[in-house]
Amino acid sequence: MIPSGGYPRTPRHTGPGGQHLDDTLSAYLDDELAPAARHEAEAHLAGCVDCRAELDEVAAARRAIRILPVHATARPLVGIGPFVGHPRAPGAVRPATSRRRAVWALAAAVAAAIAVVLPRDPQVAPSLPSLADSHAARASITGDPLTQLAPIAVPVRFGP
Amino acid sequence: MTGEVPTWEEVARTHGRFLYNVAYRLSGNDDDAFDLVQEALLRVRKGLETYQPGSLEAWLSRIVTNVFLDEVRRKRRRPVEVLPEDPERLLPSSPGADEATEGLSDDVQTALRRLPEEFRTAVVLCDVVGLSYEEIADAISVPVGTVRSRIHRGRRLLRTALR
Repeated sequence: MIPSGGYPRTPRHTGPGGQHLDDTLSAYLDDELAPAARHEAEAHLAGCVDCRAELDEVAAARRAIRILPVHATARPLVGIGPFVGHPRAPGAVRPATSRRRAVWALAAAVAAAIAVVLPRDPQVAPSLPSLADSHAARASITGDPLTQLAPIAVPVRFGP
Repeated sequence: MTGEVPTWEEVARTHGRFLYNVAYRLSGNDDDAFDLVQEALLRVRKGLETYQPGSLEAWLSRIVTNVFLDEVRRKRRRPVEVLPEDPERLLPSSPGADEATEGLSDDVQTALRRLPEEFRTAVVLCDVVGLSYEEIADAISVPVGTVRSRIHRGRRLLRTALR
């Protein structure tokens, strides 16, 4: 991915206060410099217009990233969510990797564990809509992604 | 939670949102972020036995970053065509494409997503997660000087893209 010749680097040349600060500027912003190096950087900045301009630029980029809002998802992060209700174009199905199989295995293991504490032999199967409603309501109340595993753990028997 | 070993369920419940945000900033899209979190939680589950109480978020960041880098390496070994149902990987985000980020945030996210992976990783770990350079160096197994260079060059590229 790296273009031939590499990415453009900050040109290094000697100015009135020595070499331009280059990546020392980011280290300065991040408070990653030892006290002596920090003082040197500040002395250079006091006399170097170019480095002050670059400091402003990287500071603006740094600030822009740091104020990004937390990006959230409505999908449950644990359980059976990743490959359900998430259509992909025909013929574009991703191959089942060992990672995905492992995810399913984990989901199945957690579901089995939950099934142990649930009614094992219901005489009357609940209707699918009511089952979905009850779990959606519970998940919306608790906000707990783990509860969303419950539907696949209920031993349901349909019809007489 | 520093000072004690949490259960896997606690990690999933209390840090899932954190993991997802980091995964999204690293990968640049929801589908991949979701997959990264799934894999990261699997590794968390396996790794909790050996987890030494400390900075849990730094540990989680290292895990999700390693998952991301493993995926990057896997894709490099087996390059695939961009799937047609993922047009957002090719195009700038359009209004309404992502309800969680708008306006300037969209522009920043787009610019971040377009950074070369090695720069994006360093910048995300520094500016999204808040790790120190030493923690980042440890997480991605490169010298601290390389971390410093990648962060700086990543920020400069980002700034150029945002002009």
